[in-house]
Amino acid sequence: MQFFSFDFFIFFLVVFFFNWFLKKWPLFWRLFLLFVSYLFYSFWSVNFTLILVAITAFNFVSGEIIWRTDKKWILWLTIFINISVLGIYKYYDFFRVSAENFLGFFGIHANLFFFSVIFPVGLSFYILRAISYNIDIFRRDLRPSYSFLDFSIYMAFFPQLLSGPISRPKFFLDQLENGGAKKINDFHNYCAQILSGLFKKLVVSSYLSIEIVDKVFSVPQNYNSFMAIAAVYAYAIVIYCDFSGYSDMATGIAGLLGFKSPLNFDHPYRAQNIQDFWRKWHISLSSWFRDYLYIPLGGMKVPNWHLYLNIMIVMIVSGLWHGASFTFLFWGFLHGIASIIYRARQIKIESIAKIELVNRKVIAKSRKIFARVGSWLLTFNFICFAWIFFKAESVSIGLDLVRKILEFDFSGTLEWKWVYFVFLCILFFFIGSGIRDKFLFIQKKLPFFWQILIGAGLFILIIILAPDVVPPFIYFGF
Amino acid sequence: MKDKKNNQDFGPIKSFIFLIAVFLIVSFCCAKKISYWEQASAKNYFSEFSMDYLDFIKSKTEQKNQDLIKIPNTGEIETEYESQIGQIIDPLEKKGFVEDKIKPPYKALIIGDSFIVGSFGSEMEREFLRYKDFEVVRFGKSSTGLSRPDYFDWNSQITDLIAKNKPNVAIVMFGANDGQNIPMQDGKGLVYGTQAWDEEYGKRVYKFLKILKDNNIFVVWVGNPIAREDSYSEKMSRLNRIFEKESFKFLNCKYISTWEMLADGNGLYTDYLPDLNGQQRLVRASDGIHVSAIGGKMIAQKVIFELSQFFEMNLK
Repeated sequence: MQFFSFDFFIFFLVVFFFNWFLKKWPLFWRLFLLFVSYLFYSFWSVNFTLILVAITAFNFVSGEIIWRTDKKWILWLTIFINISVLGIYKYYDFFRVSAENFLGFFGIHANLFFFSVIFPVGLSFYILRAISYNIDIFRRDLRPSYSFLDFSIYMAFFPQLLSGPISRPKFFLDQLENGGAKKINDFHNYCAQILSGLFKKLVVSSYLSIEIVDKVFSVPQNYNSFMAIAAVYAYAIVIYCDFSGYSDMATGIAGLLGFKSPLNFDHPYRAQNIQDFWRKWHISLSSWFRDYLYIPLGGMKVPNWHLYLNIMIVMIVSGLWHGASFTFLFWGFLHGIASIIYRARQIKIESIAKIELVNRKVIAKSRKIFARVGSWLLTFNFICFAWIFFKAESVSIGLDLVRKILEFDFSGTLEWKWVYFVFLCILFFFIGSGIRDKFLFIQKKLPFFWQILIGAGLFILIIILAPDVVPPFIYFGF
Repeated sequence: MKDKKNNQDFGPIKSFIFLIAVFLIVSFCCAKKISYWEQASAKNYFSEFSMDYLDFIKSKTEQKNQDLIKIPNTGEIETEYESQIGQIIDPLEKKGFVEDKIKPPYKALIIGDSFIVGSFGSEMEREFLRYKDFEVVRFGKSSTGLSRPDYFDWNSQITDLIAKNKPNVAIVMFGANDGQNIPMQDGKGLVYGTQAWDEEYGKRVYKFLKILKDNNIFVVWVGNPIAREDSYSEKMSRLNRIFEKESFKFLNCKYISTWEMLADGNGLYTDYLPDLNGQQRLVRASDGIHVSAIGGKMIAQKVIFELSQFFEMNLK
């Protein structure tokens, strides 16, 4: 059941009603939340729900044991088991095929053991939630949950189950205490987030995917350079609108049920450098990697060569987290290289000018406007370039696309409408949130009847503008 | 301050009224499009309740707009269809193209549903581009087929595509979304699984092939592969029989079965099949309906092999 389906709308209305109706009885309210979350997941597959229940039970017990024993090896064992589950479902086949191909390269014919499994949607996200729960307990940042019910809701909460945002255990579990929120804090804002998410996904992302991105990325050699360039920029818009659209909807839906979600996107394409980009893109994931991988590896308190190695490890793991493929590995590698270059340059600036890195405002002011535009252009174009390998089916197809761009072949039809569309979307990245704030300001002042009409009108407009076929969310595959 | 007060006043009950009102307005205004979104998809996740509700809303709105329901290009073919069964003489056959292969340049048109949009279509396009004198145009539209021309009319689409691209070979794949009732002009519709449905669907396949034949286009009709779910597989098997039967009536059309190609040794569904080295490779998509890139490539290579009997296929 997708967020943008009609079934989900009906499902949500029922959930919304009972969520607030049952608030007086916290136990029933929590049981209800868990029930609807499992029900939601079972629409995909009952087997997936069973896997989720098993992982939840395991991590609840392991958290308790880690708290009582304080043994590091138990934490490591827990992490290993969690990653193994992910490995079996997500990575085993990739490693099997890669190993067979690698051995075949040396003339060794190998038929490694294989088994057929279906990857449970959302597994990559709730495994990270489970690992952070155990690590937080080991670090004594969190007491293990007294209630298996609460922990199960944390793992399965349906708005965040399939593709995040990845809530931290303390942040979420605190919201379940004493029957949770007693009122909806900002109803209009959450509704606006849902509508904004629907618009990004149903209209912008779907149209660009169907009309240009999927076609050009699948067989780049059959298109001219103009279309190849347009497809690269279009994909940058697609991936942002698809995933931030999902996050907006998840945040809005959770908000209407009285739950806060962590911020997942903060205008990432406005980033002035690659480090800035990772502070703004998929924040709940990048901060997870920072807290549970980068800092344990030594963070910034290590020699330079070690720092660069850490950066590369985090970026490659981040790439592989998205999928078991060389394309994601290469994408992570490219971001690793860029981050290392940026970091090396920062270290050089710090040592020469004695400017503290944290004092970014001073640096920003000292730079002229064209330098800022230049660094934005460089960052944005690098990100778009790296997305080629994120999207392409294989590295060789990604290289085909790069080759096609470098051919400067402008024969055939040049469809300028895509240039206008892409330009408009990029412009929207800068002014979109301002428009939404203005809209909210006006909407809140209107009489109730008009609020309904405008809300429904915008919803209808989105459905009318959407294509006949809406592709599934990209991040459901990760 | 006033804003803040307004905001605080918006409690759960008022919020619920707001959401219900929005729901009713949206479903009333967009019932048709919303039901198309999922009704036409390969795997119908839509609940019975949603369908009944949307049908009810649609029936209320469509009473005023009867002219909106048009079933183009169906119904008028019966006489021609009946008269031509078993009597088709292909103009290409007279030229003896089977013995003397069709001469280049070639323009291939790859058309169909989500199989064409996805891995099979892209692998087919890629395969063609490996050969000399081939230009390729791919036009796929997900969630479409021949049973719902009111949703997407492939007959008029193919006419436009032929006029625009002038192809001499077409690779066609339909059916993934067609196992559903066919709406008719009398408003009743044909129920899937009945003899009448098979006949109507057969006419549509025939008419589609006739358009291609009239334009001297060699056709490879690709059948649907076995699927993970038995009920869906049964639908595809039924449709494949119709495709095969109708393709047989045209000498310029070659039907290719993918059923056995993607089934295991016992004829059952499998996600993995051995490649030429005997190593197991994923050939199906996660939905158990579509194919992976490797599965798509397998079908594409089979198509190329069949085409090589009629076309000069020389690698670049």
